[in-house]
Amino acid sequence: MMENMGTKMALTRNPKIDVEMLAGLYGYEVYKLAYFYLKDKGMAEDITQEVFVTCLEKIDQFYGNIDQAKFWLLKITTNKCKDIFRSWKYKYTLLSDHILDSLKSSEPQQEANLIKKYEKDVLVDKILKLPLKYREMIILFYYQELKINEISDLLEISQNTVKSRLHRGKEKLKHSLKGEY
Amino acid sequence: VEDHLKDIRRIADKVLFKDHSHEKDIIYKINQRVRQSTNQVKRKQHGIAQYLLNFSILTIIAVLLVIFTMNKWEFFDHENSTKNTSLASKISVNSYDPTTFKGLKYTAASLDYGLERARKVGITQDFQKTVTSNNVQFMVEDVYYDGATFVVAYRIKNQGTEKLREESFNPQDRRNVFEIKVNNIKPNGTYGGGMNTSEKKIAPNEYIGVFNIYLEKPEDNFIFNLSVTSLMGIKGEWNVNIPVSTKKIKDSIATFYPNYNTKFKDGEITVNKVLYTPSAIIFDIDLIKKSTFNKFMGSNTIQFSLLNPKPEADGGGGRQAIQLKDGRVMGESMVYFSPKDTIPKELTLRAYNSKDGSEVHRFTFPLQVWSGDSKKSKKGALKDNELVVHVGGKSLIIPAKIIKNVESVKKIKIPVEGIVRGIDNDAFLNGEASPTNMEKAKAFVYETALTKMKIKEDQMVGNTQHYLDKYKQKMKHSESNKSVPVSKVNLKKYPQLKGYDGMMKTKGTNITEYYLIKSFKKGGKKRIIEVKIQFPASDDESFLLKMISSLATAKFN
Repeated sequence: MMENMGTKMALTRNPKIDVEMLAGLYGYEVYKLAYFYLKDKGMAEDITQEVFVTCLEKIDQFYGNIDQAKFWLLKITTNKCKDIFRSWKYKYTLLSDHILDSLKSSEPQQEANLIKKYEKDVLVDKILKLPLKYREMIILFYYQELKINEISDLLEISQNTVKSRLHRGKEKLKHSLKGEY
Repeated sequence: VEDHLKDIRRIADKVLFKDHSHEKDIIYKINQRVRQSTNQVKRKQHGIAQYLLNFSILTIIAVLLVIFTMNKWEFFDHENSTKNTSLASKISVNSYDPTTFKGLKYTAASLDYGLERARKVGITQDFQKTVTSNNVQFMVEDVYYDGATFVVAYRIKNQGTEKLREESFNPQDRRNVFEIKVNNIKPNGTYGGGMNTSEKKIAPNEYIGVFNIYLEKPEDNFIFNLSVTSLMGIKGEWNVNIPVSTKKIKDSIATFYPNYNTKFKDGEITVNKVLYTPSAIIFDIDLIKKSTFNKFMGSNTIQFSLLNPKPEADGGGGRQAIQLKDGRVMGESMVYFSPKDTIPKELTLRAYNSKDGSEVHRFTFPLQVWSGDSKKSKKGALKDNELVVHVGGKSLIIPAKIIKNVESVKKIKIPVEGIVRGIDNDAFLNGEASPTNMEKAKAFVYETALTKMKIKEDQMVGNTQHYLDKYKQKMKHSESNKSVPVSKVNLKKYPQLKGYDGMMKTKGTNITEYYLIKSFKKGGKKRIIEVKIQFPASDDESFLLKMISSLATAKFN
């Protein structure tokens, strides 16, 4: 129902109502973007909630329409995810994952073989395995359908950098998919 | 690929987010959190208003008091008006503190790692040093140690022509290029943050970075030797020796041994230790669970949220994980949470699956080490070579103020009456061994008060715990295998106890016995005196001190 209200709808200037409305419209989008960054559903949930708490705190400084609000939320999300990457907590988590991953050699490969049958799953898997700077380009450009200039504004990098990372990301993806199709 | 990418939204949604009820769940949780934050803000605002009101009342009272005092003074000394001026404030204002700004760049670059807070409680060390090798300057700019975490903030400046290369480290790589020692000896402990960290660029040819290591306090004063062999792709030799004094941190760290074990469907959790430090709350947790590795989603690790005083997601923190014979995985974790100013009486942890956030288990355990009143009754008996001192009383556990004077060395699972030394990560991290290939780990020494034996490499199968289980039957003085914190008495506080080793035995959350062990020679033969203090203990520190003093002067015939 919210989506039918159109993108011209302005914010009410009641922080709680506005944030709940934005959560209804874009909460899951924010969660999905956070997941693509963090590859961890629990952490993505936490970040999503953090994004909307930040939104609540700063909404009185925001001026724009609903579409711009979405862009603003995505920007907060990317920044928060990157903060997580830099935090030592995340690094400990990585270590934990790294150690448990090292146990995978002893796990049966049946599941892996099953998954291989589904090439689309493999594509998503390969995207998730791309280095962050290429992964975010693929996700923002193809999944979030942002334009080059929008990604450039969102990540505060030049448009040429966006283009070259997107190109390299696709190359890497093609390379990693060799033999899968 | 291009075609598939254009359709990625549909594909990814189908693969990753196919559960539509999850969307509602996410939105519900966001709204809950937003409401919670709104209420918190309201409470805060209410609190501020109340504070301002109180402050205003107090200010008015203070002003009235000053006016009254001044008038009185004038009344008594009205003839000498110059003296009135002496009432003027002599407070010299010196609020500018340059150290406040030191290190702000690290905070701004999200590389803070608790520096700011450490500075607030005054435990940062004033240490700065620059070392140059191959035209690359390595500048240590900020250092702190809070009793559990050692943090070094550094700057890299390239003055040569070879370009610095931004790189990400995995833990092993970091270990290869950042070698650390304490008093020139490789310490027990695990590299913490800094792994996978890229240094942050702040100017052309200039980067800042922070690395930290979990390091249990070795001594009151020690030298932290940092030896770097590669910086951002450039090989060289950068050695820095950082003198560390832990005097300031003594009162800012609190250690608890809840030894709380709880079971859930596919495993069990044991909270061994909780450390409150200025930069973090650190949990030492053992977790045994069914292995749930999934090719697509990766490892489904269990993470923890701390639910009180306010909910906080954690940072996980595996230290080592070992596959058990029954197929389950045992992980020993150091779990970090952000620091808090107060220590609650109990803590509630929520264990959840990292991949889908679903709750695995929720449990509450007590933190307080002191409870109730005590009834003092003392008796002691010297039997052969053992002095047993019974300390009576109703209190169930040792008082916190006494615990404070006992320094923790480490917690390990050992057969009671034994002291294990040298079992640490180095046992396998330094060798070619990995958690799945323990056979290649270096031998370690198993030592009790009475025996000392070396365990051979070819005997090392499974993990160290299993290994001890296997051998405990053969140990002369072993009882059952219990989780026992091994502690050392603070010899500076009690110098008369030099030469004693100390050990605590615990049952559940209580400390049941405290041992002091002294070896001496009699008739050319080595004898061991073991002093056992049984708990329930007295809360009377002076009694314990008196008992310890009498022990120090006791003659063991």
